[in-house]
Amino acid sequence: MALDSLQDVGDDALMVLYANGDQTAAQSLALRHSARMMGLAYRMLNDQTEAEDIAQEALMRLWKIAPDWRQGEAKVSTWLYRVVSNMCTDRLRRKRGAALDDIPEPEDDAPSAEETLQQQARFSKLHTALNALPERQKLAVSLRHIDELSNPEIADVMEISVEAVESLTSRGRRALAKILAAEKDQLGYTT
Amino acid sequence: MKNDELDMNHLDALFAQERDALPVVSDAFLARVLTDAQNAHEKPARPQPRLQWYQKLLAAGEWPSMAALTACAVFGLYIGYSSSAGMVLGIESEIAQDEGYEMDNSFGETTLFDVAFLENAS
Repeated sequence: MALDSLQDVGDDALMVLYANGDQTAAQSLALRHSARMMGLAYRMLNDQTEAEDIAQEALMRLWKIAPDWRQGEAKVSTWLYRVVSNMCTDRLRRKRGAALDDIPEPEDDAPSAEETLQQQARFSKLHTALNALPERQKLAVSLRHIDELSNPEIADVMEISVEAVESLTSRGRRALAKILAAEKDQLGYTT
Repeated sequence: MKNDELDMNHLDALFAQERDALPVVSDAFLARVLTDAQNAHEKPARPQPRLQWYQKLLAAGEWPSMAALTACAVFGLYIGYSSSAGMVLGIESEIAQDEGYEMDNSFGETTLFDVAFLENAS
């Protein structure tokens, strides 16, 4: 993978450089943020291809906004997290609609229950537990404990109050602890 | 710690593990993203602002057309003003000929002013 040749340059400055036609600035921004955006999208949607699509689309929006980017107003990372969160929420809602109306009847060559279990086993226990949480809790917990955003930053991303973030992350953590309690042995946490 | 919950330290360890396992960004993905960046830069992000009427005029005929338009506008204003002024004067003179003015004498001789004047005088 290519290296970030402008690693000492801040995101805001990279946005200006890109807006002025410097493609290496785009490369640096992509290298810095793609993995985290993809990680969040993957945790939310559980689909690698969709996660890549979303990360690509989020960056596309970043390129488009670059000429109008106001330095110091928002962090590039927070802005990207917000775009990715909103896109994931939209896709989850669409899927939920499809789940109710459009899911076809199972066919004979559909994956067997055993295959499905195998497929599920590929996901980490944490992923499985995260996916059992309500959408907003999952997002808040991911941003707080995996992406390590501060509560005010999460409030900005999710467009809610800091108190609401605290409530979501606290309930999410407790719910995860309960879900994972049954997996203690498999996780190797016997005490 | 409750028996039906995972220790929070263990949960934090799972989060840390997840944090360290960031997805690998493939070269193919990076290539797609950079192609997008190139394309987005080549196309203007915003539609060009619409030209103002005077900019269009300047673009069409440079300053002579602008000067001609200004001269026509000033001349038109002058004609309009001069003929309307004459018309107003003409109307006023016609009214003056048709009607006379009379002093309003309805207060008579016992207005308050007159009484006060008489009192001061005496």
